[in-house]
Amino acid sequence: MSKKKQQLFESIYHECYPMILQICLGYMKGNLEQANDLSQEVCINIWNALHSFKGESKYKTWIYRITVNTCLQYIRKEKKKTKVSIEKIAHVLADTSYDSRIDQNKNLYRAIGKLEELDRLLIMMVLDGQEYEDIAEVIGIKPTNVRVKIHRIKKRLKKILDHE
Amino acid sequence: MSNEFEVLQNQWKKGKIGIENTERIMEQTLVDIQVKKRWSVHFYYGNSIILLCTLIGISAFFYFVAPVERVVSRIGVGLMTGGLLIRIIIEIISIKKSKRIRLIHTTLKTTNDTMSFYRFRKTIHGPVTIAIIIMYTIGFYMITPEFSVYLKNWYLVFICTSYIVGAFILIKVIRKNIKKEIQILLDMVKLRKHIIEKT
Repeated sequence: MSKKKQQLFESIYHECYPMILQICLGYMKGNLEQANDLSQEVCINIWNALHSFKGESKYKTWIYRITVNTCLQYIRKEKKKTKVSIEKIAHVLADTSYDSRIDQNKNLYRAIGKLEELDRLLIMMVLDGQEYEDIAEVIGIKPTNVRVKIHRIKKRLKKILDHE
Repeated sequence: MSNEFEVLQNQWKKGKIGIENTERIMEQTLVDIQVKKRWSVHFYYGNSIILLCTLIGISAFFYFVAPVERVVSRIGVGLMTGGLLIRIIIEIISIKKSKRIRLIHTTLKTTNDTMSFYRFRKTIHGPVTIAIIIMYTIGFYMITPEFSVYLKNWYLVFICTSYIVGAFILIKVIRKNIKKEIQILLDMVKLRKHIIEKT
């Protein structure tokens, strides 16, 4: 692997990994093992797509596109993909503070997990502070359409959280 | 509702701060990338290589070991090898199509591309694969009369029976794959509908 590519990947990884893992956690209903596996898949797809990043879209939009598409494709793949080896996540499990950090948002992840797949990803981008225009660029629909969807999802999420 | 959502946003941001990177995870990811790269080459080309080896094996058998002489038998060999060749070509087209699904595009485009890929798979898994199996089977039974001249009866019965068993297992596997891929296609159609719906 070329040094330049590895350096670019490392900088993306350090900057975006928390965002990627958090989205994967929400998508996987707070299941840390599955979220770790999925976030690894996202990272692998980012690596594979690095050569095609031309800077035409915003750097974060590009990462979000890969993350969202990987999440939506992942759940449909072989069921074995949702299993993860203990060795692979041993370093994560060994870090007990890691779990407690995730625990803080567990209810939120679980509530998000009750939404439809695409809605989970949309609301997480809003929670992450993304503008409607940026989300529209990720999904490929008009910002006004995003606004309508988000409004509806917010209502549904509130309802879920109120019932918990 | 906006205040409540701001609270959630803050909670979300705090959660993100809690998730820290470690060099260990980074190193593991780079290792995984290499493993995955090797795996994906096997995944993409594995089927085609197996089919190609089978084609070479069958062709070599009929050319060097048991060259058939009757016209009917020769047509049979042609049907068998021709069916396999068509299957290999379809596999290669399938690989090319699957590589067109790019995750850097918008969700809508990626979903459309995935749907187009699975529609293609549905076609080849359905009528085309069935046609190839029928071609291969007809070819196989066109050769057996000439084989019966050289082989003992019990051996010929054994070959024909094992072919039926093999075909049955193959059809089962194909059916399972068709069901799985049709389900993915239905999921994609549903997802697309959800993406473009306005209310």
